[in-house]
Amino acid sequence: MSNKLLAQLELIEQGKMVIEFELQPMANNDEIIQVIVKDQEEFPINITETDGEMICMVKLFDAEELKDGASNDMHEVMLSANLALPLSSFGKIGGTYMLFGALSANSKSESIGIEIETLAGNTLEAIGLVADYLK
Amino acid sequence: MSIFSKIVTAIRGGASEVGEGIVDANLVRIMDQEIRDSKAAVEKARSGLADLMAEEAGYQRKATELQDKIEEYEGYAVQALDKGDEPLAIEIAEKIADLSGELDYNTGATTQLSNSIATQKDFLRNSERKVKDFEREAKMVKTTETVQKTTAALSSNFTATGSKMNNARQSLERVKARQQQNADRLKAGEALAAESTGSNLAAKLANSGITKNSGQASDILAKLKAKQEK
Repeated sequence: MSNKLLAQLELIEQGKMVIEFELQPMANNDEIIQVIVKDQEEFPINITETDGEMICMVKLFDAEELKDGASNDMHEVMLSANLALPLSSFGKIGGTYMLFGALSANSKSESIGIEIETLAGNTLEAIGLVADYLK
Repeated sequence: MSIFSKIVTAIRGGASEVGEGIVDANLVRIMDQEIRDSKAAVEKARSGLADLMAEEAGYQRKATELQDKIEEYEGYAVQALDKGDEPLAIEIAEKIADLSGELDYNTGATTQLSNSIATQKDFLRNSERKVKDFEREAKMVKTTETVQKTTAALSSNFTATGSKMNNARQSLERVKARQQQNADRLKAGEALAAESTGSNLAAKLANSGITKNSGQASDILAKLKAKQEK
């Protein structure tokens, strides 16, 4: 199943993009394909497919990295920023803060490429935006 | 509690452990059953609607035929009256009355059917919306579970490579430093390229004899020659 997703992602023409990346199935769950973006390997994009939807997520940080009492203010900033961020949104699952985007699993590889490129750029913007709230 | 609230409660409660279900398996089964039932209802409503519409079309066709026939007999009646054949005209009028009765019945039936069709269409749209709602809820559960699994895999992946000690802030700083380095390297490369282009130009000039030195030498030689001639 992941091989199908991997094959689909391999069709993306990196020559037309402003970032370079490598694709690799995650070691402990090969249904997740990691996009390792050159020069920002610290923030891999994790792509999975479910129910006709392709979800691209980047882990930003864990709640425990937040300064004491900072979360309310940071949430305000995140909610306000959500609308301005192209294609990506903030999310939280358990104690993990995420940046993610979702698109139809039938999307053209050009669109998937744009999603990845945008998410990679947004990730640095997003962490930069809330860096003051982090330890 | 709606499925959506349940999901959000589960996520907020930190139910991100591997294998921990967002909603219990029983509920997922019930949802699947509800989707199947609603889909069956939609199919039934759709075929019922098709039957009603076919029936309505039949009555409408019949009504048109009757209308045509009535007009035809009205023509005959006028002709009979023109010929002064009163008894025939009455006979024709009776026929027209019969046809009109039949037409009234058809029109009534058509109206009744149109009402039923409207109701059935409402019911169908309602059932279809129910299916969409159930499917959306099922999708919420599946998507959340996938996202949870990914998060769990990410956490254990990080621990496995030992890179968890790097927090996001440090990572961001490192990424930015590396990108700055690359930008500097690019700039240096550009400068280097510009320099080599410069020396290329010097070589070309020399090839064409347009060097600073050759100019000086010829000037000197000219001066010397001028001296000699004096």
